[in-house]
Amino acid sequence: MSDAATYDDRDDAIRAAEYVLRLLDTAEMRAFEARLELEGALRGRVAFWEERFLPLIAGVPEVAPPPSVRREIERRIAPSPDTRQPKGARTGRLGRPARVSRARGWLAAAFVAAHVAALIIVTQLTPPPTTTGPVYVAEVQATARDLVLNASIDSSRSILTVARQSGTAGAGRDYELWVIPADGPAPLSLGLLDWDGETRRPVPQEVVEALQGGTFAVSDEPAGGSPTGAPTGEIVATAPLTTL
Amino acid sequence: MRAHARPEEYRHLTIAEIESLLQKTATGDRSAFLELYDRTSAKLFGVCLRVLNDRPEAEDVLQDVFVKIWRNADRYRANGLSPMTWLITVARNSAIDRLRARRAAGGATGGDISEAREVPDSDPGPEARAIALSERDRIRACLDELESDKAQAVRGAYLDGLSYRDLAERYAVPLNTMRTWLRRSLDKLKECLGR
Repeated sequence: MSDAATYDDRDDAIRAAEYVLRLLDTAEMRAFEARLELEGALRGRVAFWEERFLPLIAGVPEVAPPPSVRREIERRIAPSPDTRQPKGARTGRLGRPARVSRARGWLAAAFVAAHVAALIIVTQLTPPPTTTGPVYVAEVQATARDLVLNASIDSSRSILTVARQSGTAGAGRDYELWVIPADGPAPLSLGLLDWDGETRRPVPQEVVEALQGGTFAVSDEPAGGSPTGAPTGEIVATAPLTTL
Repeated sequence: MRAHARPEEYRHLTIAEIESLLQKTATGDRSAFLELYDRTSAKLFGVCLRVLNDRPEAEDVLQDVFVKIWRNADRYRANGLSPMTWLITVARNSAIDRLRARRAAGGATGGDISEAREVPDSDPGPEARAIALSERDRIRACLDELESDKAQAVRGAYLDGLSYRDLAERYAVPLNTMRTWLRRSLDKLKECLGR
């Protein structure tokens, strides 16, 4: 059908409307949200539709929820004993895991020092039906670098899948991928981001064991990767690894 | 602290007040967050109920909505939405996600388009009315310019979380036809809304 065939070229405004109406499928929505983080004009289009459609629902009658809802929310946002820290320190939408490790301290320092504004979003992917162990996912974007990629690691098959949507390292530089374990100071290399589009590669067992509570990170390294085995350049983006 | 909002309170909450509460929430100010809850939860619960049409589920989703607001209050500005739009959008999206999960699990479908419930206009109060009236009239007028089944399909997607597949089934047309229909309708709507 010609309309379907030419759809890719259609106006972003229509896609933004479909996004607002939740008509995009999961993959389309993920790609669109990745663009949203980077493109102010596209956010403007979404805002246009959100504001214009809003009157269709904004007129619903108000209904006071029972007090139990408020109590439960208060319980859920209560600080747990070892996560008392300024809320502004959070980096991900999902908040921090309960344990604040030395690795995270390292990460935070690198992050601040590099003055990099990285936006991190974690998305729900549909796990492949054959998977039996947890699949960890991270979606990272470095606003200043135009770098957008999705990563997932299937722990039962020890397979890393990375899809780069945009962004390349500078001349004579490479992006290197890392998993930073929750409770170990040494980031583990996942290799270079040296391909375009999507790739799959096996990961060592020590990486699989580091996924729980770990953080996915991308650093800017000399061509060929870090000479020391640990990140040496700017950390351009990080995201918590979350299970599906 | 009030246990929950009296229905009229949201009406008297100005944009600046919600914005200020959200800003304080973004810095981790729990009492500001709870005041935001007290003053907006009745509206957002209304939104969840409208989409889900199931009270226990709506209560559950409302919890998630406010936890999301607590965690993401620092992000709303980046979206370019007015604060109340952002809050309602978080509620509507969360409710629709729940509805879809329910449908995927084979539960009651809800939101039958043959009885698509028109949202009544509660009086938004003088402040909100000044902002909202022209906008409200505009989307309705523009939907009225579409053929009625197409306007109904757009409402079904927005209010009942119907996907292209759901809509294709309801109107007994092929999926691609439904996509084409709706995209053309959105094109017309955009043209009308931008007039």
